[in-house]
Amino acid sequence: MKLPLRYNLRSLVERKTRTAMTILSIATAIFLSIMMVALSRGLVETTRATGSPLNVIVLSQGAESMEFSAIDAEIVHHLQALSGQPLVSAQAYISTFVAIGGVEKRGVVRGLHATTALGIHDNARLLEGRLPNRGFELAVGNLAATKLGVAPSALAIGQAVDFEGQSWTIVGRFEAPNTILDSELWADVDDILLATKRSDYSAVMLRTKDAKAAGDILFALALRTDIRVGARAEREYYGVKARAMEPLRSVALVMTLMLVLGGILAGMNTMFTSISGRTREMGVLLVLGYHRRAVLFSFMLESLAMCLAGGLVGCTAGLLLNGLPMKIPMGVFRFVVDAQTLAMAMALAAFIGIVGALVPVLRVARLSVVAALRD
Amino acid sequence: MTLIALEKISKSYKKGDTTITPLDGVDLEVDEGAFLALMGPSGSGKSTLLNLVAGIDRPSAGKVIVAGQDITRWSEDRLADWRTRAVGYVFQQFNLMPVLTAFENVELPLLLLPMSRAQRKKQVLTALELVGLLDRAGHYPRQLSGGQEQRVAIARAVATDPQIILADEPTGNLDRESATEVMNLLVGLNAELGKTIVIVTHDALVSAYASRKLHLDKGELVEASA
Ligand SMILES: Nc1ncnc2c1ncn2[C@@H]1O[C@H](COP(=O)(O)OP(=O)(O)O)[C@@H](O)[C@H]1O
Ligand SMILES: [Mg+2]
Repeated sequence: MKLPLRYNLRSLVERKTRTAMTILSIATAIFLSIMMVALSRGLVETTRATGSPLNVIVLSQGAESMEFSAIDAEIVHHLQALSGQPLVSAQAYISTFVAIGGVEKRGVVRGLHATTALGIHDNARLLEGRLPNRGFELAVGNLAATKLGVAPSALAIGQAVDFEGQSWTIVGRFEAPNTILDSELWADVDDILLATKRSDYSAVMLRTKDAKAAGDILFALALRTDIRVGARAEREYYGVKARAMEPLRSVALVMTLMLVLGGILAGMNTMFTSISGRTREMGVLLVLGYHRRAVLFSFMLESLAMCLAGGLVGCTAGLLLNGLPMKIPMGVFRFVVDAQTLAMAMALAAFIGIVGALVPVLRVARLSVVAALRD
Repeated sequence: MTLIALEKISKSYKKGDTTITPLDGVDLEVDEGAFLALMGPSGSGKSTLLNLVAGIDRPSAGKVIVAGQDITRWSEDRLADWRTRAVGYVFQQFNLMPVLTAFENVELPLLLLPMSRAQRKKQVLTALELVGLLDRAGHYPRQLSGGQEQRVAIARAVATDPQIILADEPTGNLDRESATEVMNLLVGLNAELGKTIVIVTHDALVSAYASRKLHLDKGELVEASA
């Protein structure tokens, strides 16, 4: 089955503006689709990746989240007494308004102990300065400035910010790539309790030796009627939070579908005009001896080539998104664009090309040679 | 020797309630090497008859026999393959591909045949030389005059060296001078290369070039005195 490929290629080139416009609209649809997927994946995966497999998080009974949990000092002592865990750290977790240069921004502050912070949050490491000690000191996450919407220089070491009626001096900067820790502010836990006039901690983090030890401690805590807490693996804690964001994925999916539909319409419109305008040329190709299937297929290829070009442009633009931070009310996340997403995007572009050409191609498919020539 | 034979060919079209029958039991034999002009008023079925011979239309009844083979029952693809090698078709509106150069237009049917690139190029250039347009090989149809376009179309029709050339009012869109050029070309194809030619026209001046003339009217074919 010989195809008049040069004819098809030239036809695309001849209609430069139209072809370029179509490629552009397909590229836009593909780019936006990638953005939607990268956004939802960034959200869900960043949240999920925050949990360490060796950590157990203890909240007050019935609490689903650190923000709504209160653990008193007595329970912390009980948990410390449960021997065998390398690290036990009580934390206070608050969402509060942080005043930077007189402007208030909503930020998330985690109170912890400098001595155990990096042992428990093993996905974090210090970039410069040191971890906060008592005396209203602060270490800032690498994406905290983005989260707060301020210039990185505003959170440089030596700068001071205000919240909960105190002035806090920045003494260090840490990173915890692809986790939500990256957009947090860290302070000493006792300073946080002092500033917020609280006596209850938000949670107790237990660092275990291995996964088995983590399971054992969860089992042991479940049996203890004297320590009434809600404990779970940190992985599970963030897994639940990630799952709570799944509806966002559906939103992303619906928006992607709409974009694809728009792409199909754009492609269909172009191919419709293009193919309808060349019905007679199809007739001539048939008279010359080209097979009908070959001619129709070559029209499909034209559309496919155009859409794959659009897909390539969209993917290239999409790839530039990878790793870029984005700020949404839930925090700061990085776009995740991987090979799988790009492959899906190209498949989508191909789908647009095929479906877009199908209607106009089927319209001329049944036309007799004579009828095509009369067009 | 008979090359093309139509046996009791009928063709009718249904238009709403009415049925029109441009061809009604037509018989025709065309000898190998003939130059036949098919005349008749507009709408008399000349194009229809030509299309039946080319295998791009099918009769309602009767047989079209070319070189001893009944082509009426062939599939569309088989007809297409046969047409590539055996039939060159020249249209009234030239029907060159506007996006391709003269060279590429002539090459189009040759791409369907198994041959080396060099061989193909040779055949394209031979055909273009035959119609006197070697110097216009790289030109696009829009850069050519009507007469030149039709000559490129003739080069395309003869590129695969078919035995039969069918031309449907090939001079209908041309001025007198270009028409003469085109007719001289067709005469040469017939006289020097032995092509069997069937040309549709309603121009008496054009039909004067033919060695045999037929009139089609009211579904019937009548031999005209030469
Ligand atoms: N596809 C078709 N559908 C309906 N009528 C047709 C079709 N093709 C040709 N006809 C009719 O058949 C008759 C002969 O057409 P045609 O062979 O083109 O005539 P000519 O070439 O002699 O002018 C005309 O009346 C024309 O309207
Ligand atoms: Mg006609």
